[in-house]
Amino acid sequence: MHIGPEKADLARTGKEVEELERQLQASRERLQLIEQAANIGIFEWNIQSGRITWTREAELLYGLEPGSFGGTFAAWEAGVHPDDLPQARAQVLEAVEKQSNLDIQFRVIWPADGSIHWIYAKGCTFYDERREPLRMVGINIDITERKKYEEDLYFMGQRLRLFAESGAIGVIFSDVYGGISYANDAFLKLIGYTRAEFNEKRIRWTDITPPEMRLHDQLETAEARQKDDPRLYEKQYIRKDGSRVDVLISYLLMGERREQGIAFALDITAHKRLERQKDEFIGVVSHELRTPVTSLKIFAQVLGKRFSNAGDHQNAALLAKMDAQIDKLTRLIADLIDVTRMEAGKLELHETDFDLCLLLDEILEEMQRTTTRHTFLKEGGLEKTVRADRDRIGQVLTNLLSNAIKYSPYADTIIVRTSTDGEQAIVQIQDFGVGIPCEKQQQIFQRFYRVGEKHLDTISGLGLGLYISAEMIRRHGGDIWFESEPGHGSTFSFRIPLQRKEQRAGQQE
Amino acid sequence: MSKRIMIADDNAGIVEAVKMMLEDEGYAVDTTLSGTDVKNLSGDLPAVLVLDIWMAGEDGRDICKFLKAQDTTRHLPIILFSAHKDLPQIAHEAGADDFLLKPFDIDDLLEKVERLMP
Repeated sequence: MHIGPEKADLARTGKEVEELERQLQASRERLQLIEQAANIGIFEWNIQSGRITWTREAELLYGLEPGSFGGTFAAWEAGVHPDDLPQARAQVLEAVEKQSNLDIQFRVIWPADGSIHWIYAKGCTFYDERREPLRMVGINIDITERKKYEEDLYFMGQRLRLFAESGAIGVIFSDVYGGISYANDAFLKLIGYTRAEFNEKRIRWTDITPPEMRLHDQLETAEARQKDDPRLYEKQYIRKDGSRVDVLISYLLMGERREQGIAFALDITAHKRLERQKDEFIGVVSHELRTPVTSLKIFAQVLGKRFSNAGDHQNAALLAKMDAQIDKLTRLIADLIDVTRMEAGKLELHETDFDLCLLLDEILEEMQRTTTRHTFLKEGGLEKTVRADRDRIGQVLTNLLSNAIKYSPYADTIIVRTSTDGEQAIVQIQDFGVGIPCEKQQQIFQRFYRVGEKHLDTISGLGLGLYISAEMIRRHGGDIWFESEPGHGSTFSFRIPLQRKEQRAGQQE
Repeated sequence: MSKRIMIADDNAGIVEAVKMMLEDEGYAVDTTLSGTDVKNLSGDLPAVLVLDIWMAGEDGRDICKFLKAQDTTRHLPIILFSAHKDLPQIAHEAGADDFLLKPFDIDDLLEKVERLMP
């Protein structure tokens, strides 16, 4: 009767074994899942027999078909990149000998496609009571992605450092409030401080910016916080010795709050000095030209009057022509002076309220005297007065009309349209002339630019008219644009605010 | 009534041309190339002074202000003339009676002189 309990015990043991096996199976499956999910390969190296067993995942990490691993140390060696093998092998043997944990990285080459993968291996060795190594158990993980990322990061850092230290361009890491967390040697050289002084004084870029340029900086940084494209403009820094250095600055903001940024500053002092010299030269030349032209004009007129008074109308007419040519010369000189002053930022507008249509009529009357071929056709109307610099707007009209005449030598009509959209006065001047070649349309508002077609070489001018006109309109808070079809003519248009003062005050608030 | 006009400009070419033109119209013309001469005007004053703003070494604006501040010359009509584009502003600030932008039409100068003639 004591079989029962035994049987019962056996039955229970059987159940327990079954349960244990089920649990073992479950944990094996869990392990396998982890292995698969984490791309972890497990190895076991029986050091006594030399036999190595790999899990399926371990084989996959080496690019081997499941079950095809040779199971020997040499088979492992065969998979390792030859450049990394000597060190990896030495590290494994050292870990065994010194009873330390294995913790190494090496590359493997997949036999199928020759691709290279980074493996991270970690393992520990078990020893018998005589401290003889029995086996090593460990894992392999593919760290190719991480390695690639680290490498990219390293190269990126390296590139950035090389770039920052290249010497030609000043580089700062800064914030929009004026703080500078890093400045390279080129930047320090630019502003004339040593690194020690720079660090000690905790120099802020706002402190070394001339007061009159801070507002512009503020506007630019505000813009930079809105948009992703880099800011690029010219400014000055005050050097340690109080002198100023002209720089071309460019920066990009980053981060969620867009307060931090990287800025580049290029020393353009020499370039600016040359530009100033050139502008001064043009200024002096223009003034020096004006003086003789003034007396020339008086003499021509005095002579003309003398001929008229003596009844010699033929010679008087000749002198009138001479006077007209002197006026042309005067306008060319005036253009040169305008450009010089615009570039130097010294051009001022003298605004008054005036009737734009009346001005247009005056200018049309003047222009009609310069052409016998063309008639001007006025369309639309504008009853409101505008607030602007009357002389300057007159100059723009003269420029656009003389261009229309100049570039439509075979047409006989020029249409002049005026209108308003309620807030702005719009003037459009349409000619039926040569038009502007498509590839030239980008450049026509540039200074010294002329529509340089071979057969148009006979058309004279300095190429300053449109540049000056665009600048004048821009300074009035308006804009200028054109449509043109080569061979069919061009329409130049501009618009200026009817009431500029109020609008400008409104924008400043 | 005196029809004497004084021209002050440091450029001899302009002085000569303006003198010729005014003389053709029947005016008597005094000329000077020096600002100091203009400042020292006293006693027998011209009817109108035509003054350049860039006198060698002296600023026509200062001369104009100086003359307008003296009891003896306060009523002397002054026309500032210059190639300076901001001349209207400058003339106003200096207290000049009129201005003329170089280069100019002689009829404009004649008209201005005529109008300022006492």
